[in-house]
Amino acid sequence: MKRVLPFIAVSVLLASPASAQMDLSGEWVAHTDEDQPHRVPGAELGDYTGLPINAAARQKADSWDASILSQPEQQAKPHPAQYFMRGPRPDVRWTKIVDPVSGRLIAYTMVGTFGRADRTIWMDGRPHPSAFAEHTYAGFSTGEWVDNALKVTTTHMKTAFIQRNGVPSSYRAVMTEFFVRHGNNLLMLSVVDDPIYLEEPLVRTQNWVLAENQHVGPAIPFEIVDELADRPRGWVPHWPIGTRHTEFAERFGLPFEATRGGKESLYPEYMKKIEQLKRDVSAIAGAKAEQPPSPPTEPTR
Amino acid sequence: MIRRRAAALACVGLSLVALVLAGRVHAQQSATDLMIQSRSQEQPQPSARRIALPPGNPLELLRVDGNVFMIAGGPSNITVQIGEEGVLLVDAGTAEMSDRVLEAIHVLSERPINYIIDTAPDKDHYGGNEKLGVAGVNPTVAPRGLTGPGSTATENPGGGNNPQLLRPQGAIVFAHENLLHRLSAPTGETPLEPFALWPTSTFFTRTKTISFNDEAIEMLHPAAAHTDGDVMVFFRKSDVIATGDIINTLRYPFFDRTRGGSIQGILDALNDVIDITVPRFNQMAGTHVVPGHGRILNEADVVEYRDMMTIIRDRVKLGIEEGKTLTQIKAMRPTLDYDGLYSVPSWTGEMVIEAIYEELRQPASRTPTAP
Repeated sequence: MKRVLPFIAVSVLLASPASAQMDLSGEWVAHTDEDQPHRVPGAELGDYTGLPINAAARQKADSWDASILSQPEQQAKPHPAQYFMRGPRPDVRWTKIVDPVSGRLIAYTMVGTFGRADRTIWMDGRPHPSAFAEHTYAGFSTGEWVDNALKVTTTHMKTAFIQRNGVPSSYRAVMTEFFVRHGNNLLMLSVVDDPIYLEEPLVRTQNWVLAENQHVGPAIPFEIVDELADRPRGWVPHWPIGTRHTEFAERFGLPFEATRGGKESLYPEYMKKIEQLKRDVSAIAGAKAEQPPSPPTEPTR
Repeated sequence: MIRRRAAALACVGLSLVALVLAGRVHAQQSATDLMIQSRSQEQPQPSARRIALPPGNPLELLRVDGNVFMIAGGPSNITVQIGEEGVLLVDAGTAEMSDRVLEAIHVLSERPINYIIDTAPDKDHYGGNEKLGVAGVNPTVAPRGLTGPGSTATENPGGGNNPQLLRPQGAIVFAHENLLHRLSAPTGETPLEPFALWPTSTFFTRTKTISFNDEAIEMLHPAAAHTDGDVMVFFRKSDVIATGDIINTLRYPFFDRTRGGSIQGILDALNDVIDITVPRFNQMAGTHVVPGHGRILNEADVVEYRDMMTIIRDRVKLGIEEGKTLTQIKAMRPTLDYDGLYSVPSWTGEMVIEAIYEELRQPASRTPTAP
């Protein structure tokens, strides 16, 4: 028995990673029922609810004008890594890249995100690039198994957005994702940590189901066209400082302040503050009702 | 004795096998990378792999694209183009880093440095002109012992700004004429820099072109941008543009109005770069951009940088149009959304606002020079 014990111990130690590591390759169809309005139609102008953004991010988002998507340089942009796993879908294909000599798993590739900033998740232990290296929309990802989860660390992302209404994410952001497979279901938990635009890490989840009848097609280039004939050189549309995008708050009967995001707004206690804000708004409205009416406020350029 | 010899032979054999296997693994990894890159739209990302430098060298060497590389990690970026003819540098860094720069260049090529192109009249860009220039070879001078024009300075002294006369054994150093004006002085006056740091060949036109290493190279002079002596260098075949200090990803672009720079010149130059760059697929990859300081870019990054400076300029302009004072405009915090990325003690967001304000209010006025 004494002779057998070491072998058993070694076998158990060697076997545990193998049993925890799941094959993630295959075609996966996304579930978009979680936060669907934010993801498929896209968040409304001025809706920063649930985002732990700081004042700098708020100012950048308030300045964002959707007309900027008419810039030729903006028309064909893919969704960035900080956002594309929680955008409209994505249905993706994971593929294993195996070293033909050693049989070792070198990388996973993942294709199918909007605009096809295709991802490579390096599994061979290579280091992340120099800070001077190019940043890309997919970023540079490395993976390692932590228990039954594939932990993916992504750096070298571009300055882009975390929500399609202009909420920014900087090139200094680092994203950590955990992928866990339960049978034919795939769960992702992602954490975006951005020292420039976030007060706290942004945590989101996403689900996929294995889809044997899916085949992610080839990458299609977007065509860039001149949408505006009178566009001057260097045209950069943006809303001026001080613009209040109040439509979202008005439509959903929320106090404007409650739509502005921030780490405080992530926690259940914030519900009490919303109630207080509502009472404050009612009090102000009551006071205004006693005065002559003023014209409605609208964003101005 | 036989046992020792056998052991030694075994060691040598094992070492050889290890070397072969190491090379094979490296080759296989490269092949795998290529396989992935051919499937991916975002790749290739040539700069993702560091190129090893001799131990102790603090610089970093990265491939940009084609025949063009970047030496980073020093006071400024140096762009290196290599080929059969020789080596061309965009910027020379500081004199203190020249030995390390030469080490890095020798990792890439044993050919001589033939050309240096200075992008700005700043010492972190031209300070290495002398050391790197002297280490190089003037391609327009025939080697000793051969006949032909310019075989030695004595035989063919030339005249005026003839590079053979100025530095017959060294590389040609190109720059815009205004850079030479900044470094030199009329006879009898004290120049800013000694003769050895001056460029050897200058131009005053909007563009100058050469062909080197089987590649067309354009030197572009953006008027009144960072200074009045800036040059950007476009490598047509490698599809890389080196912008000098028109772009600095570590801070707001510095437009030095005391030396002929302007915010409008910066914006014009950034729009020029955007006109030149072409993405490979859906606004990804394609033309690469080497800034004067910071990381390698492509068009999308330049657009973000251009948009930022345009928005800040417009905010200040709107404040002026609304009759606000400089203090009131600063109180609006027009750079708040970008300060975390680009404000540094030597060139803060507030300093940028002041400089823009002064330019928009008094186009001919002067602003303090950033250190």
